[in-house]
Amino acid sequence: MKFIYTLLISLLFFSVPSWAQFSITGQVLDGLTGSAVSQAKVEAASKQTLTGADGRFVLEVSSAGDYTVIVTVDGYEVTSVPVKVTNGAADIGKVSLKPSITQSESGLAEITLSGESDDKDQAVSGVLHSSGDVFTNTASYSFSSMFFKERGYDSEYENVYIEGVPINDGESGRAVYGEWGGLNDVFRNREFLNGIEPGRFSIGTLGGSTNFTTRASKQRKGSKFSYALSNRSYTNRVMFTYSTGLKQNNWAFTVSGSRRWGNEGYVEGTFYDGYAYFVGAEKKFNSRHSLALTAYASPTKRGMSSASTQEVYDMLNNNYYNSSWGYQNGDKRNSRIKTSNEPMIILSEYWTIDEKTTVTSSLAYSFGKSGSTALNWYNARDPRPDYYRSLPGYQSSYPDPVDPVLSQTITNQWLTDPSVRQINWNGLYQANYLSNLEGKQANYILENNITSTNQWYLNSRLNKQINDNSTLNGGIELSHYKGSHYKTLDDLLGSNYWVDIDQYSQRDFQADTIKLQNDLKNPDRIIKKGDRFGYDYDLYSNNATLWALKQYSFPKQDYYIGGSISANQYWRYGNMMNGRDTLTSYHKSEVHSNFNYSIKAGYTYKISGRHYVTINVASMTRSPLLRDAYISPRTTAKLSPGMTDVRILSGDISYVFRYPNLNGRFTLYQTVFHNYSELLRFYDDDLRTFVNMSLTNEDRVHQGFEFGAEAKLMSNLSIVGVFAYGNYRYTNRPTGTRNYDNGSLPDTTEVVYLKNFFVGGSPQIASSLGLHYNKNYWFFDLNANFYDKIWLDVNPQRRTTSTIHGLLPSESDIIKTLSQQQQLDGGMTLDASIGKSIRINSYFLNINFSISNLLDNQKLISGGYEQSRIDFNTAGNRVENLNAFPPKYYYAYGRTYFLNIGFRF
Amino acid sequence: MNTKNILSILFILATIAFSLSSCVKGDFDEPPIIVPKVEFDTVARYDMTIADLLIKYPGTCDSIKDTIIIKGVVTANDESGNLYKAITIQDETAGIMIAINQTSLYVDFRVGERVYIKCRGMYLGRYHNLPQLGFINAGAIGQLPKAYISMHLFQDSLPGKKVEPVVVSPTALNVAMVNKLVRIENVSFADAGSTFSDADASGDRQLEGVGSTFIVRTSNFANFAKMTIPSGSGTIQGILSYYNSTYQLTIRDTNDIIGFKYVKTLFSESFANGLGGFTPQSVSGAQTWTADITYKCAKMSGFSGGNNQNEDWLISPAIDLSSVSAATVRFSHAINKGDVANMMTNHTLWISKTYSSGLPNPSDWVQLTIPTYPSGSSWTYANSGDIAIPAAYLGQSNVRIAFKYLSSTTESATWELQNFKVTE
Repeated sequence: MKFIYTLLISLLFFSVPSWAQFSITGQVLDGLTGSAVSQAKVEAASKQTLTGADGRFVLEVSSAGDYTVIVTVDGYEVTSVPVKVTNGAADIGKVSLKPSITQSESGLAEITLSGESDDKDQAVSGVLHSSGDVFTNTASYSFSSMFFKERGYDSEYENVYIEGVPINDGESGRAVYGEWGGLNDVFRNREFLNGIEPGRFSIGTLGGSTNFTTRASKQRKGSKFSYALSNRSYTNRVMFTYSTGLKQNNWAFTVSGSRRWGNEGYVEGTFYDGYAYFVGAEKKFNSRHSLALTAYASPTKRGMSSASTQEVYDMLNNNYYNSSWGYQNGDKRNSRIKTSNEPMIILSEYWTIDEKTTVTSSLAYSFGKSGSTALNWYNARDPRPDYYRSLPGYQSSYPDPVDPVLSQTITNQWLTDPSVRQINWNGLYQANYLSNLEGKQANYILENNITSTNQWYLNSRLNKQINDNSTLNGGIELSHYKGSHYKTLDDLLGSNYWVDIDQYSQRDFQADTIKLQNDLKNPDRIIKKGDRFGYDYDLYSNNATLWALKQYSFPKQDYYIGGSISANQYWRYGNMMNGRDTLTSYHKSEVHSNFNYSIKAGYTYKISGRHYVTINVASMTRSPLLRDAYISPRTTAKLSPGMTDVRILSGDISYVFRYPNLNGRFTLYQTVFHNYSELLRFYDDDLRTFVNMSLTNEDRVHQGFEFGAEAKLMSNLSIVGVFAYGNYRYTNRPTGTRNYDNGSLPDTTEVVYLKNFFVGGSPQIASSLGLHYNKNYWFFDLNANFYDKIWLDVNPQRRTTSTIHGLLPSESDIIKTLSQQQQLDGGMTLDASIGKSIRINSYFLNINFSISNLLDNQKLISGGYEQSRIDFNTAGNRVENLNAFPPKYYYAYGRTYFLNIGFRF
Repeated sequence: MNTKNILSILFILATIAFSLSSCVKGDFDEPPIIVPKVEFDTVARYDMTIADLLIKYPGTCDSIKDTIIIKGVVTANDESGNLYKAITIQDETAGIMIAINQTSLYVDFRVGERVYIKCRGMYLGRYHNLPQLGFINAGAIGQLPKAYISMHLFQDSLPGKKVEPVVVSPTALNVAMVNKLVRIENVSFADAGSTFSDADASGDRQLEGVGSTFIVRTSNFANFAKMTIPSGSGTIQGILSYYNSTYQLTIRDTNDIIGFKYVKTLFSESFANGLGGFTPQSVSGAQTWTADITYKCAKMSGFSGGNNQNEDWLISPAIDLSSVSAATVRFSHAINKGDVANMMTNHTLWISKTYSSGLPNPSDWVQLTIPTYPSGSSWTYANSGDIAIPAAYLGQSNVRIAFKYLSSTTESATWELQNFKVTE
């Protein structure tokens, strides 16, 4: 350790003699309007810069030679210009960009499948990277509908910054893209770091980092109004943005607002109701100081879809069946509604100390609430229509022998009776009304699981050009997080009251008047609409990260070294004393702390100005996520047993080529995770309690290659090919510890046989072939995407000796069925879009129409999970029905469209 | 103001107008309460009483092929979990159990709800002689599948007046009463203080004072299964059930136990794992009180290769009755292998407030009468019945209770004790 720091520090402060400089200059303009394009990324031979307000740029390169300058900015075609640098500055003159479809115009950014499983939410990546890198562009754009994860990493390994503020969630570690949904116009400017590479705003992580520049002075000047019509998550979107640009008085203002709504999305019973607003103000005090204030929020409310088993999909001949909704008085009502409103306020200060030194600082505060509703019931049947006991398969198993009339009757009821196929709201109300007559508590309620967050951020970073050959970037990131978790009674569904006890404990500990209490200080409390109940606790964390990066550049080679150290402390504060753990559940828990580091180094060898080889290596540690730190945070402050910091070693080697008519990249990568930890939570029907399972000491390897290239076939026609091949696997047998929520059994620990299983959740092969045609401000895109090596996420529960207990060696086929990992079918989708930009004096009209999955492939499973429950017969002490709990799947949408009309002036 | 500014303002207004005018349905009216009303079509049908139905289909699993309609009022359901996948209904003539392959039936079939049943297509049979209306399963009477419920069971109006239980006497039961809601007055539990069910199985609990053996049977899945059975006496009601040829009572919940006293246990010793705090004192003879782990009892016998003369005491630890105004002793015992004529003199119960240790001094002890003795010639246990502790011992902190055993060279019985309990 000490050696590493010594090395790090000596390299950071090591300086080298300077070399002669070469540079490329030019000006980037909108081909249609002729106006300057600011914030466009200009890169050549591993060097990059952004254009200024006048569209001009100066890109320093370290040697003479042939280069290809690549200009990238959202809303325009990626444009490359060849240039020969001989000595001094080479001017490429004016670069006219052709407008193209933007992410907000294609609507792809807003495909968000709602994920819900017993275990964990399906992660959705929504950042569309606009970079000169063909692979990254395509992977983040075309593959998003299949939840393709770059290099197979979990989303917490992708960092997102807004004006330098790291906004990944304090508990799940993930960036929640919905927080700025509907603000596409003002979230256009961004810097992106691929994979493990570090950059100006961050030391980076494993799976890429993005920094959004939202300050008012960098927003495109003018007004823009757009209307979109779609059949995906929402039906309509209106959006308006107005930016003043930097005015004579050195002020800049931006306002943006949008509304997205739809009574029903692609999936039946889902609805969308979102607003968004953004206000930005910036004052340039002098050439050295600017101050910017950014505030935004995107309050949204959505009705969710659900995953179901193939039995249900096949019976209904509909892979988009949604069990979350039902009719209430003839209207479709969704039981699972997600609301979120997490405003963010950022105050940023831009200080240019001298020509070569800038300090960017920000103070930010975010606050807000997100909620997720669900049905709850007391001493009544599970009201979810696709609960396994309600399905034909289970129901037909009685009586003996199978009654064919019965099977047909059940299927007919499913097909023809919405009160069987969907939630029977009227039935739930009627049950409650009958309880009212008896003076009893509700049988059914709708509860809202709420997370309310407050977070302060303070960041500062330094970017210094030390001399012609070296730069130093570094910074400090501080934050204080508080996340309050509780549930409220959202709707009594016609009943009079609910009683706050844990019914699972009540069943198991009838004589125990303590254990069943959720809130021992208020036992047997009567709960009415709006009351908090069930659980109520806060998680706190304080974080401090210090990072530094030193980059060196020479004619033939570049290299960098950098690292970060971070300290973190966290604790739980219980607002209720839970009867299952009276000792730790109430008030402040012990404070725990973590310490982590990362070290990165890289080397680039420039074969010429047009192709180079680059190598990155990184070693880092990471503490378990706050979300996973407590085994059952609703009831106890006990930590998840055995969780340790994950140790990560990662490296990649790339060959990058940038020729005027051909550019692309080929990368080989490998990442080894050692001591990965996860926490799973599921309901065990046999024991009738929630079970928490912590998975620790898990090792993984993620390896593979990425290839992306774009070739110009003609001046107006280009072809893009992308191929990602991954091998993401578990490489050891981790430890699983089960904890029973109702306290009916002591914790049990056992080996989980995961070695050589595949890490699921993302296709391991994804490829795309696209054609782009652009002429006279018409453009046509056609993309064919192929996916394969898709593995269903494995559930550790099924890979333990206790699961196969009692099975004989001769029953190896049963063991196989239980433990084998399911490979999902690969498949192909075709996306097409057409657009036209029209100029009428100084008014511009854009019309885009895109169709995703043109061939309407409805057989592609985009996600899913193995159910955690196993039909284990306690009396027989062995597995009973192998197929009682088959996997649940989400399917990628079939054919969808997005029409966008934009008017800019 | 130039054109662009005006346009900007117009578009802002348009965006706001869109936002305000486009609403997504979020509020839902509460559906009205449904008052179910049965209106059968006028096809040929036979309205029948439950009693007549039971007569018409006397078998163990008869298919009902006629368009028979019965009606009744729900008397019990599965709310507490004591009934499982079943409800009982009854009309003026009889009661019947409806077996249905569905849990939480009570949500739809509340006690007091009037239900019509279209019997055609259902099966009527006897499960160990208990009549049930349901469906055929593995050749025997079973449960009506869930998907068929809506074709056969029809609620009518909201739950109304509940059925009044019939007062019965366990000595005068007949088959016609089975599946009806009955009430038995002036009874007590032999097993007061224990739980309604066993840990992992249904529990049979004897009623006393009914002039006959009568069982209250409780499922271990009932939500009151692990609660303590009250002492004292009172009224008990429930559904009269029948298993082979034994009547038993299924209570619906603890509200069916009326007027009993939930009392505090002051001292208890099951003898299941030894003698506990009791000390054996051998006044004469070689044999002594021992614990029988196999049969989970305290045991004394003077027999060892032959009959032996013995006087042996089994003395309780000090029981603190200092703040007690009434107390009752009870235990279970079995006596065998002795002369039945001498049973009540050779097996006696004593009480003391002065004894401290060692062999018992007769001056310290007063005899208590054991109300109920076992047969004396079998291993079947009998409950001692309630033995009130005399007022002189209440308010005392050193109360001892002792079992005194006598045998002779001509006869030596075996006395076994279980479940000794002193309650308030």
